[in-house]
Amino acid sequence: MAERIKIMAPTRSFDMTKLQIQAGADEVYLGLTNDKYVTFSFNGRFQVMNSVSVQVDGYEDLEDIVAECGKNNVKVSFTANAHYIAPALEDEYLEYIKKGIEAGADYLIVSNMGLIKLIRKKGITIPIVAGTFMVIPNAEHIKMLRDLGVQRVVLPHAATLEELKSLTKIDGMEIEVFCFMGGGNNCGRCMLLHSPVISDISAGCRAAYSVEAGREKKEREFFLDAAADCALCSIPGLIEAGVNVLKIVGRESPNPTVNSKIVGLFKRFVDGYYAGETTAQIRQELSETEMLWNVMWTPRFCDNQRCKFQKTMVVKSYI
Amino acid sequence: MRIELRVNNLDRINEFLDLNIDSVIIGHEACPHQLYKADEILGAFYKFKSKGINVKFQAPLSYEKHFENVFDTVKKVVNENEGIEIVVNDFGMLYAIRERGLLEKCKPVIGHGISYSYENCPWHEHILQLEKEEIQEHLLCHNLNSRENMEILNEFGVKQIEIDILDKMENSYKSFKENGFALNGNMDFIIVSIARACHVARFYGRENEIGNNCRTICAEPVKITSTHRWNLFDNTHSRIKKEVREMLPQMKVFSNIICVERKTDLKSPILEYLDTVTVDSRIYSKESLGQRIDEIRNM
Repeated sequence: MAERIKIMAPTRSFDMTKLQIQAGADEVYLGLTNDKYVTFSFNGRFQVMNSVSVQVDGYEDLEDIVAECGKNNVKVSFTANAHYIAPALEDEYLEYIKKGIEAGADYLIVSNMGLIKLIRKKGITIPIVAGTFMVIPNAEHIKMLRDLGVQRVVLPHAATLEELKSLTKIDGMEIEVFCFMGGGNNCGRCMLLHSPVISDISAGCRAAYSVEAGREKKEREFFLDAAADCALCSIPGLIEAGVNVLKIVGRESPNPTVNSKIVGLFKRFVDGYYAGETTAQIRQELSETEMLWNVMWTPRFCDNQRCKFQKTMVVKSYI
Repeated sequence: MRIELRVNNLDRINEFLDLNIDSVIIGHEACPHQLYKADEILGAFYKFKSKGINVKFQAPLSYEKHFENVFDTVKKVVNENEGIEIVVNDFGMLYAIRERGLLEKCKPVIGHGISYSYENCPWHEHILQLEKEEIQEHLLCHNLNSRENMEILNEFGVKQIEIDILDKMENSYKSFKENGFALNGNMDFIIVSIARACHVARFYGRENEIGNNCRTICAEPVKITSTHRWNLFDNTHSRIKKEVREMLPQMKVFSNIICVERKTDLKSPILEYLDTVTVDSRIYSKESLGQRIDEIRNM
């Protein structure tokens, strides 16, 4: 019998970790602050976003979080998934990784093949997850990563359900997909970066643009917004396709309670599937008020068709 | 320095045959629907070769749905042009070329789909501004500039890398050269982002035509300038302050490729590291294309 699908939740503090565990997270992912950078980090998030400290504050906090996860049988992924690290910073990067491993992390998330090779060369044997910044669009890339010693891959936001059915068939590789929020372009090969310094520079894929198309000119167009945000209704399809892990974003979430409610909502749908309930039955049971209070779910995602893995206008525009 | 012409539109082939170029590259960075059929590509190759112009093929970044079709085209092109350079834009294609026995017959080149740096971000100076100068230099590094990445490229037979001509990449480009990699730089054109979605087809409401002879939808680029930022947690948009708007450049979107046009300074020291420069036919009119090639030839 196939293993149950797991929910991976973001965390950045002991309290947020407890909320995520209570909400039903099977795994959490986190990063550790460092003093080498002011705004950047050794992982895929800046140190601070919108005044929220995104990284775990220090090693002692990291140890406490990992211990709490261990007590609750929750696995921890330590993020070391910067797009790349310059050769001059490799020693500091390896030191950073060692802290995560010493604290007891179960997985390391890495997003550059050279760094994976470096980590293995140094005799570090922790299971590696290839992160979404790697942009892994096909089975051949997954096989290449398997040869490099990777155990799990995070697929791009725009992989389709049909594609997942074949990408999950590669022996010895676990598949993780984003089930909540995402980018409109190939994250990793998208340099429309939001700024950790200037709040006016947000993620370029979601910004509004003045558009000139031939003689036509339009204002306030969400021209690059090809992101899909919610996979609740696709959970049965994802489980049946053989996906191993559902990832929820939000290390930068200003309110950890809200983020844990999102985790709880996904947990409810996953548990419902295994209990034989249909998505429609679960939706019926959840009150509209409950859906509204969860980041205004119904109008924001359902009414606007921000569905992942469904035939929405955005998904139809996939090449 | 050799001059190469990137060709996406074979309808313009007669414009290109008499240009003062050394090679052409036919294909696309990230859209399999913009690939011509293998026999059309081979026919175009024949015309260029008969003019003494070398040919190269570019395989687009291929999601699983398209992978086997794109690989099939690569195979046909390689079988008819032994020794040809094949530009790959995802690592899966590079892996398949070696694992499926094509490496003896072709030379893989790393394409823009997997070659970038933070300097590709048009506002990178603002993002990096709080970091120490030394750290900024380290952050402005090419994503493949490390011993281990270069070992991987060597294992897969790569000897050439396509790069953007970016002023602060000198250390990375020097390192590639010292390690025996030839560099091929895009003139006047920097790829900022690559998507799976065809933004242009979606804008025109023509998503249903994608994959159905859709090349005309994105024949002309769409120009975009950022006006409102997105506030992630309340999902609202706010107008960007004028002084910030003024530092955000206009971008051009070709289907699923987002780029910035920036005229390359022909005196840039970066050019010394290049073996080839690529002139992209998409961004020039018939007249300006020939003129730019002459300027490069005479520099």
